[in-house]
Amino acid sequence: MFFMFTVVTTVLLTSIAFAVDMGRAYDEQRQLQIVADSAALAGVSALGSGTNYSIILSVVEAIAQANGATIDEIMENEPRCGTWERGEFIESNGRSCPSSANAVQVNIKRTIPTRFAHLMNQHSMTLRASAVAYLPPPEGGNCIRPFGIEDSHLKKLSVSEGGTFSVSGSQGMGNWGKIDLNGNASSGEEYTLLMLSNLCDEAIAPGNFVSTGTGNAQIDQVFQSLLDDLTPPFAARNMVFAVTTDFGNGNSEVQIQRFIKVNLLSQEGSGAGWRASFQLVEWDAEPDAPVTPSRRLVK
Amino acid sequence: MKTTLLSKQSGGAFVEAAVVTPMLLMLIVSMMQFGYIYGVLTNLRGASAVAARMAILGSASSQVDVCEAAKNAVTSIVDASQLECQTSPSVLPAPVNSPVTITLSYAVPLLASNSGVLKGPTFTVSARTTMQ
Repeated sequence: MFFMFTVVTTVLLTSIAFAVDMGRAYDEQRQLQIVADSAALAGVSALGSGTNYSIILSVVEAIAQANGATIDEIMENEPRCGTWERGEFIESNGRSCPSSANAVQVNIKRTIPTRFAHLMNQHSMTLRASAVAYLPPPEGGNCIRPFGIEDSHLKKLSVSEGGTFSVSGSQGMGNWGKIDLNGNASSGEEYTLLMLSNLCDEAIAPGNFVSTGTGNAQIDQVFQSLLDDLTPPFAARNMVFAVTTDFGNGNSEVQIQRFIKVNLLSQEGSGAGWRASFQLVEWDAEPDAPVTPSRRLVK
Repeated sequence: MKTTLLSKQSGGAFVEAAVVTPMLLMLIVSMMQFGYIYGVLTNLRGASAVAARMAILGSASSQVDVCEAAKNAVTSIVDASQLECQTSPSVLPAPVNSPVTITLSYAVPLLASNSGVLKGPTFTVSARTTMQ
């Protein structure tokens, strides 16, 4: 009888210890995560020109304390500035916050005393929470794509708004189409990225001279990728291209005359034989201003 | 003699039961009440965090929107219509990059469910989250 009592009591007490202490730890962990999230979001809100590490740290500490954390809990593993690139936080060196930083990481460590687990010689539990908040780059639906169409070509076709027109690799002088809006057009990867995602820069305006990119590489694939996007608002719709002076043969410069808004209708051919059809939406379009998205939180 | 002893033993058990049962019931009711209060507190903490995040990220444009978001974030153990919501600053949206504090309070009915069948005293639970 006594043996049974001992066994049952031990099992019961162990279960209670587990349930009570683990339940509390779970709740505390949730609370700690809220503190880490709040502190990281606050830290990233302070990023910007003229910001240094101590400013970020003071903001992080203030918000963490307002949510019940102590300085020691935050400073056990100091908050860090860094960059968020391709789903990864890349930490800046030491206590620095360079102008290129777009993310803040906060780590919190809290040790809580146990209640019933004392009976099993477990006097405390250590909980950790981590959060990274970052500022996504400005984005906009209709900023500018690094593609130029010769003004003379459009005028020759007498295309009007709502009408359709085609462009192809074989028209005009030499290689044409690609324009270097940010000084990186020589990179095929950069050209593809900007064609698919827009380049939002208010400095790009009619009257600007821009270098032309060379070669026909990626043009057909990019147009096809745009057409393959079947998710609203559809990448191939309402694209803004530059209307330029005539392209020269090989590397040259063209001047931006204005912008047009087009819908890409089809693409055929490959390499220098690419050919794309468009519908003209606006003859003289005003690219949308970049939109700065909200801060984002990742854990 | 035997009969007397037996009857004494039965009486002893009855007295023991009479003493222990209310204590046991009290313990069980207290545990349930404590669990309920703790559940409400956990709910309010989560809801205040959701509301605060909406307030700072511009997803909710006014105090009414923020408090509505908090009410939507609580589970059914909290009567959302009885939830008290306060924001600091009281006028939202707050200036860019300034802190916003959301405080949620709820009067938990004691010794009764929140069905309103038994109206008893209440215990006020509150949770607060500050974000910037």
